[in-house]
Amino acid sequence: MSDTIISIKDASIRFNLAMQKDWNLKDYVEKLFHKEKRFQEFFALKHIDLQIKRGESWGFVGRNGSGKSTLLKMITGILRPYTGEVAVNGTVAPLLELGAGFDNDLTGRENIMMNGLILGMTKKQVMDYFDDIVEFSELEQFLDVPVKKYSSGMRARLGFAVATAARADILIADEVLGTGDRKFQQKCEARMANLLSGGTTLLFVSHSAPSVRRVCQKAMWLDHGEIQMVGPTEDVLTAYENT
Amino acid sequence: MELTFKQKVQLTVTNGLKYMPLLKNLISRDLKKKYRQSLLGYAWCVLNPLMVMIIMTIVFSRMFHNKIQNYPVYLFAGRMMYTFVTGCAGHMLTSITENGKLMRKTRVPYYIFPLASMGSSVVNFLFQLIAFALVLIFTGTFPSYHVVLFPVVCLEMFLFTFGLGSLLGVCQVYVRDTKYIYTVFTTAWFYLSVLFYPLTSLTLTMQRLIRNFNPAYYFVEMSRDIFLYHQWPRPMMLLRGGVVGVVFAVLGLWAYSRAKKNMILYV
Repeated sequence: MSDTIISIKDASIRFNLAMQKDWNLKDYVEKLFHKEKRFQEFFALKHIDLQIKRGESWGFVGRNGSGKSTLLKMITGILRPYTGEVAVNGTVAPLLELGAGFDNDLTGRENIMMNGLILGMTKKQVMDYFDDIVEFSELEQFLDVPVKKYSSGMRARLGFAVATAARADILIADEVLGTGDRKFQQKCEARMANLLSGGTTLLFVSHSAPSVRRVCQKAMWLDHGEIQMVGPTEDVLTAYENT
Repeated sequence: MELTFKQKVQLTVTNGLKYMPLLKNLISRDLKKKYRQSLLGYAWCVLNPLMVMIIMTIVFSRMFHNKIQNYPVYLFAGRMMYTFVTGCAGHMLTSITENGKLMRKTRVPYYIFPLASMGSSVVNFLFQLIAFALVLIFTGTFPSYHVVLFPVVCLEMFLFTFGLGSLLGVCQVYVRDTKYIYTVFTTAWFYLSVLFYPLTSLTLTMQRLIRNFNPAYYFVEMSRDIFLYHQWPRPMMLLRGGVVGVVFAVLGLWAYSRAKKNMILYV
């Protein structure tokens, strides 16, 4: 078995901007007559090549809109590459937004089950991890309160706890430590380190350079959808910070 | 790397089985949320159709002097079929777009949302049947052996509704006006489904049009045949119901497979 867990070859992602904006009849009629209006393409990712080995931890840096999240969505399988190939050999636990799978009207307890199932766990697995999730998120008292009444920090804790409870082959964390306090950030970093030592591959996006330095061995710097630099975290971050 | 058709089917089935628990959870969430914080809770599933029936019976038999015998059963047997079709399809219509955020941020198969809507509508339909059983008891209309065909009628109706709801749900992703058009459409459909008046009060042409081209009416008529008139549904109706059921289900599946590739860009 090869130890390459994610293999991306010459992948691009294209969006049609004319399609993304609000659509109405007036635009539609205009588009019928002006062909160029029908298509306004935008490449969010251009010719990305990336090989990630099992157990590595990768940091992704770049300005807003540079394609970091798009890249993670493509690896998760939410977006399909317009050209090129993406091969992923393992289970993915995506944390593209903390609490993305939460239903505001359900309680914390119900949401743990729901979110676990969304991540592809079985009911039994969720039950097995339940105590661990509650302990990590420190929400014992608030389990039967609807999630809409949670603070953003509480949501973040619960979301992170569920996604990291099961040992997925790949953990994808997109800017997830932002809302928590310092103590929680440390706890999360400790858990990610723990998962890494257990063989999980980590893909990590953060605007906090110190976090990336602590967590990741390798890094990629993206700019306008293109790879600027790939290499050991320290080298890439130094170059990125000097721009 | 192109997959063969057989591999595709296998993949869909294993994937589907993997997400069965999520599907169940989504269905129970739907039901739970609907009646959370209401005093009577699930009792509303039974009470609501009963009360609507009582009001409609009073309005149409007292105010308009209908000559239909056993009006409560006439009304209920038809209305429960019609409300399932339009309610379930309407629920499926918004199911994909309403869960857009989940689709953009997590990886779940897109078809799970319409299926969950369908599932909770079917559970609601079963509650309606309980209410209907109460009506049958109170009016002394005890079902005959013809009831054995009712599950077949229901199956046809489920297939048809699944297809219709799927088509609407996919349409809604690309054209958000679908929802409003459907609302207007169901208003017309309500009056064209012969729910509260006798079919014979219409002109012959109209009768023929409805009996031929209104799928909801197929199920309304067959339900009345079974529960009110204690007779077998007409074979022609049974056949029509089966054909629209299969045709719409296939169309719905086709719509999903067409939309799968780029749906995520629109939700």
